[in-house]
Amino acid sequence: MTHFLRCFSAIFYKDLLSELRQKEILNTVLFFGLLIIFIYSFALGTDPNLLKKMAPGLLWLVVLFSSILALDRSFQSELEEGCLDHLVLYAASPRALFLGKVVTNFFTILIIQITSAFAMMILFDLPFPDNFWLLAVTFLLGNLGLATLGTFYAALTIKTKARQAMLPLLLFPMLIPLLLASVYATQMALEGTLTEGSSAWLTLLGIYNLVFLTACTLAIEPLLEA
Amino acid sequence: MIIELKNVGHRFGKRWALSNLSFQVNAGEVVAILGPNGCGKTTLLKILATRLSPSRGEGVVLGKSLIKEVSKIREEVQWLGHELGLYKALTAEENLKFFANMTGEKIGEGQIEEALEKVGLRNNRHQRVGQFSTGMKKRLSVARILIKNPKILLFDEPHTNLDQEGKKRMSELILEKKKAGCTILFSSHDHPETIPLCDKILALNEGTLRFFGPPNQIRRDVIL
Repeated sequence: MTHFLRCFSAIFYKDLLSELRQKEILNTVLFFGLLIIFIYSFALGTDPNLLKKMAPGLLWLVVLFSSILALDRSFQSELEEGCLDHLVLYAASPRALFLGKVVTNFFTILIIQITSAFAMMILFDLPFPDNFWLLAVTFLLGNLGLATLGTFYAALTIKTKARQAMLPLLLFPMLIPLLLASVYATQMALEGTLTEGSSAWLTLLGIYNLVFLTACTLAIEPLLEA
Repeated sequence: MIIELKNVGHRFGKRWALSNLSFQVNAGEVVAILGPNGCGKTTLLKILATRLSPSRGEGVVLGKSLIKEVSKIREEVQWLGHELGLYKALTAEENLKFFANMTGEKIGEGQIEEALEKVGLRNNRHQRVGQFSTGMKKRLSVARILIKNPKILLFDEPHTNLDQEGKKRMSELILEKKKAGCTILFSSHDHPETIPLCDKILALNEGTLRFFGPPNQIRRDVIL
């Protein structure tokens, strides 16, 4: 196995093992997400048409707000006891480190997405999506973009004083195209419409991911060295 | 000559933590960096470890530029600072394996056992680092160094937070590494522990070099 792959898998395995043992992120984030959905269900009333219309936007907002907590934590753990300094000095590949974190965050957000979607189906009395595969692809593409940019901005803000405020302030504006495409594609999946519109949104998500995954991977090295 | 600095300085904002530092270290030498708090000991070690880049001047470590060939230097140099860089959710063994993977080295069970044995943590192999005392964490971070076997070792106050037994083991480790040909630079406030270990003393005050030479030539007032 190459050095890059060894670094990548070591980071992913370490983060996974730490989370399974400490449950610092998932317990908090899942509870937070479910709480927001619960509050939405009270605030929006019981009109089924309104709930179905608003569900995609609300789902992605819940995922976004919950993910921020997980993304913020992903590099915070590396600052404890100076681990990040040691990782940099151990000649670890910064790109492997970044991509390992992206994959960890991808799975964390996926768990948030699936849990939130099920909770919304129950509380909002939503039917099973008419086009499941469109929903699945939208989830995966939207999730990848969120994990990529979120991990990058978490690394960018890690040493700033107002880190918890800075991360959403910098990240949210960058996520607007991703959020827009994900919400519309999710809407189409729920309604079962597979039109040119849905493939255009998926194409946008694909291009967004390609551009930012490449740019963030190239830019991470000087960021971690700083 | 394995380390050579010429007029190296480093500043944090407007304050110069180190200024015009020039010295040379030969292969296999042990150099103790002494001086009061805030004199630039840690900054100097971080520059040599390539974690900080000099604000001015130039340096060569193992024939490679401190500014342009950072990754090559990192392959041969090990740094142990105040922050030990261990993951509290992982066990002692998992921490060692993780950092070995990061350097791309394959390590066997025997190497892990031997390293833990040397630092007196063999029985704590499967214990999570979060349950370790500060001294035990320090010893584990030393075990991590033993596995990598670097050409240059940089310790920031190696005897701090260790009990008498731990201090003795640390001194033995420094002498053992010296015998193996490793070049060692370490900062210290603990002069009685330090002087017998080192070939040279590098004394700093307010970021400037006050003395560099064998311990028997230093004036007592320089390191007080």
